[in-house]
Amino acid sequence: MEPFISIVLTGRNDEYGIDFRSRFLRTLGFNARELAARAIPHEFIFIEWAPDAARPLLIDVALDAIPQLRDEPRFKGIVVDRLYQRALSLNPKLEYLEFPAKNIGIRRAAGEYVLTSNCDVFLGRHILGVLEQRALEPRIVYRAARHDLKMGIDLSHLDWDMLEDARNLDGRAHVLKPPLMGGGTGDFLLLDRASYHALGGFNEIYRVARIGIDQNFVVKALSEGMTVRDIGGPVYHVNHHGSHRLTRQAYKGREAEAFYGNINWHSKSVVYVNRPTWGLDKAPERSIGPGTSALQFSWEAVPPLVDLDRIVMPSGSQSAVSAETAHEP
Amino acid sequence: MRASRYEAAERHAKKLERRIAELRAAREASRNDAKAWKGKVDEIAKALRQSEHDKRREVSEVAKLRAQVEKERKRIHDHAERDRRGDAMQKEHVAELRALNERLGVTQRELAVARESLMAVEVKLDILEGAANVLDVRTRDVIARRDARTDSAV
Repeated sequence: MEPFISIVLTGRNDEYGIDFRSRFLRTLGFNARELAARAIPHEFIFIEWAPDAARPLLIDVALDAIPQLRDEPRFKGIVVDRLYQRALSLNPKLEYLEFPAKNIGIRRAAGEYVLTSNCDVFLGRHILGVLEQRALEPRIVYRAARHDLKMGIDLSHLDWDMLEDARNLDGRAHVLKPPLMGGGTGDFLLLDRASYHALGGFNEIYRVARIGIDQNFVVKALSEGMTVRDIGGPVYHVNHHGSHRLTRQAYKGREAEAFYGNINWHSKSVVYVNRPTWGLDKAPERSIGPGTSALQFSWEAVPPLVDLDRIVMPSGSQSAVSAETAHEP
Repeated sequence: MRASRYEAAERHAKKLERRIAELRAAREASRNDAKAWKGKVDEIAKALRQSEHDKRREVSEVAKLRAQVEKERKRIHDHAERDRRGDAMQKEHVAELRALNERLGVTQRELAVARESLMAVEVKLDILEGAANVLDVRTRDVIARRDARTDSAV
């Protein structure tokens, strides 16, 4: 049975972002359990971007920690050659090209709908209900407000009571505001696969910053006439050291040095037209185990370092895309 | 004198006396009438004088009113003229304002496009700067490796 939803995540086993592994396993286990409990046909596509050869793959760690992921082909792991990080990088301070990684998953997703999210995000009860009811429409980018939970709360026995207890919230619950519905955008971007593909995934041209690429995707969707809508319920995120929210202050005044790149780039004012081969479409893929494959390095898959014509103003993106479609064989 | 003649003369005298009394009464009545008529004539003369006075005053007032009406008519005419000129000027101003507003709209749109273009240029500059940095690192790597291979010593 084709999955109703593909959930695209990316990470690697180097504790990038501090305590990454345990946060990932906790949320993956929770979300997998809740999706299965509601019989929602789904798949997880996990992109292990540029892993350190000296460490075990996070994919293997996850499959060992959550054995039910092996039961059905619900978990697809894709290991991406480290050379892609070097070949694609436009900012040596950026150690992790999160959005080109997510594009690999979007490109290869089988679900009718695709959710790109982060590895430390719990899906809320309302969202699971919407998925269970299949109450989604195409050409609508669904966003969810992020509720940050206090750092240091005991998550060893995580349940709904704990997630939904307002006393555990770190600050006021975030409210999404039109038109961009910004704030923790990368934690929840849900759209039908055809539309995700029509947009060409996330911006692969501007690889100078990691921040704002998700918001830039929303701008692109709006410029293509799509709708952005609050799905109506939150996702939950446990605050942690190294999160963007907490580290942003540490880099105040020296943003150019930040490991996530310049936070002030014009992500709301320009859009992009990715190459038709976005998502490393030309990368040779070989199976390395059940449900797991590796993308081998090939220069043929690597987009040019500089592709300036593909940065356009929002009003121009439609014509640029049309022109490209017209030239496609 | 014979008695008959005396009686006749006496009758005639009495007749004359009565006639005199009648004439005296008639003269008195005429005098009263004349007095009454004179009063009436005086009243009429007075009324006539009053009427002439009133007439003169009314003529004067009519002249004043006429002058006032004329003045008012001129004022209304001037006002209408001013209104007409004002309307024309207002129409001109409205047209000017409309034109200015349109030009402002066009300028604002052009400014927005210019601003967007500038932002796009800045984003492209970011990319170029990034590419230059990356190429610099790669070039240094290549040179360092080549130097290591050739074991060059300075």
